[in-house]
Amino acid sequence: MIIVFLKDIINEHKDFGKQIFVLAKTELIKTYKGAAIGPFWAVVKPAFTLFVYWFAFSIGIKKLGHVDVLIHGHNLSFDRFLFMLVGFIPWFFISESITKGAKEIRLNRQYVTKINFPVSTIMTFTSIARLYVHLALSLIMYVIVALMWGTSWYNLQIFFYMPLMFLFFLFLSWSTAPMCAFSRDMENAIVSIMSGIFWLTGVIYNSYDLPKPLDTIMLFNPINFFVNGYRNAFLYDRFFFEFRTELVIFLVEFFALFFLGIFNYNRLRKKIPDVL
Amino acid sequence: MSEFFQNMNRQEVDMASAPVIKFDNVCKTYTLYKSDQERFRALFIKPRNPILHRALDHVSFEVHKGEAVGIMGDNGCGKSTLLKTVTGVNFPDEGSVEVKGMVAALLELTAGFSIEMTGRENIYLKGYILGLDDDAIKVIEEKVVEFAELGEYIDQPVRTYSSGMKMRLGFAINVNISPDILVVDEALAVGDAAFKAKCKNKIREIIETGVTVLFVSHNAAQVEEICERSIYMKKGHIIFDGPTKETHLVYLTDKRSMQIEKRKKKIAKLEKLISTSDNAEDIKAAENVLPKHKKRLETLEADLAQYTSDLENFRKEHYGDKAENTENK
Repeated sequence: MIIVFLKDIINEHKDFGKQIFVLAKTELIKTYKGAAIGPFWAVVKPAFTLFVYWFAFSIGIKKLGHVDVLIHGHNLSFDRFLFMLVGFIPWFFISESITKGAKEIRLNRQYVTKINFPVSTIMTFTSIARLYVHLALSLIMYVIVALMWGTSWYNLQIFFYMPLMFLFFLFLSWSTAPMCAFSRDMENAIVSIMSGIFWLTGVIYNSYDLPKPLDTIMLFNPINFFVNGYRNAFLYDRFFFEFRTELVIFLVEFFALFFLGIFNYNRLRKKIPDVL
Repeated sequence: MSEFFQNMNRQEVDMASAPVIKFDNVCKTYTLYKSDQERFRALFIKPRNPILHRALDHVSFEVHKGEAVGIMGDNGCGKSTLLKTVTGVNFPDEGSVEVKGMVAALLELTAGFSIEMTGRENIYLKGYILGLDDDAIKVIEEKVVEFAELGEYIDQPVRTYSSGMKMRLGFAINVNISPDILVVDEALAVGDAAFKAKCKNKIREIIETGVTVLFVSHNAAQVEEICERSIYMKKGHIIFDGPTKETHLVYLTDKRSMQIEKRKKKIAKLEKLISTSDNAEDIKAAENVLPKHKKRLETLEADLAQYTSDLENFRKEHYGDKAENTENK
């Protein structure tokens, strides 16, 4: 059953490869056209957010200037700016993916209710548009990291974490986008939850460094997997398989989300044109 | 030139071959939610007694290659749902739908446009969505540009277009992709009178090449001109399926009967009011309008008699003596 459903989604993408990239490009143009500094807003906005948090946490609260992380039994001390920077880059992509990804079917309703269109590709091309922005931001981040901390072979792990992150939140939108097309309440629920999730994620602080049961509970938040994963790659010099519990918990969540996404998308696909 | 021959081949209506459009007992029910809460709940559990609206009720018909079929019926009879099902926007709950070939729908002309991209880029975008490759789009690109009459605007973002310009571009793309099936809704108010005439001619031209056509219109003369066969729908059912002239007469007789029924009820209500009411003013008002209704009833009945005899004559001419009952209700 699931295999048949998955086949449907794959078929929708099969002959649509070129369109997906054309539409992803339009999606970017749509977002940034008509502004004087256009695409720079993609950098300015996150840079400002980062600055504000950094200001509050390392200037405002003086004690929090440094973060100590226990890696391989050693205590590594990071400048909080660098620590936050590497955490924020995936966070920006993730929070956009969750809140905007949920709205995509509703926003692109013309493709659903007016013409015969492979609906699952809507989530794909909008995600790709976000990934372009993420790539640009990651590049800027890497330059800063290289200057402040240096480079290493561990950095290559980005090619493991980034595609995985893209897929994880694409699968999530297979569930959320059809549901939000169905009911506005779902959309509001997601936006409300997301505003709190930030503080339950180790973007600003170190999620490993919490009192006993909490540090394990934090592993169940898949966003932590990516935020810490990016730090594995750029700061901690640690491989993704070294912290096995974290990896296993994440993989279970990943596949659960994947099957749930296929299930939800197929359950609601044929009803969406009637309710939008 | 090769295209010309292709079109020549299309001209034969091949009844023996498999149909291009085939509806087999198709049902479509819309679920109407009483409130937003109900809708939210429906995401997780099946609603207990939902309000259902049956838009298509066991609809079966076949359309063969090269046929032009008109669809008649009042608003809310299921016409749009039927067309949406053919174009692949809607999905049936029961039954099966087969549609073979590329469908060009002159229904939502501006759907699928990306307003930030230029007209030319949108030709490609829409072409991709319809499943064409670059080469095929290149072939039609100039034709579309020429037909849409947008001039220099073709390289401007669609966001700067007027609604008429957008419609023109949409129309030009849809009619130039050489579709296998053309779905036309009558509400084709595209641009000024000159462009409208151009559109009509283009539609006629396409139909003459032998494309399969589904045509929806309230204008009976137009349907008769284009379609030999028509389908009359009412409340989600197919009431009649036959030659356009006959279908139109069936439609008219049915419609007049309904109107007469309604008018009679109204008159009865007024008469009851006159005989029972105590309010002198009400009675006077009712007596004033009563003759008007009665006169209208007479004309309706005369119409009905006319249409009924027309229908009989048509059937006699068409089917000879065996014209007992050809209705397939």
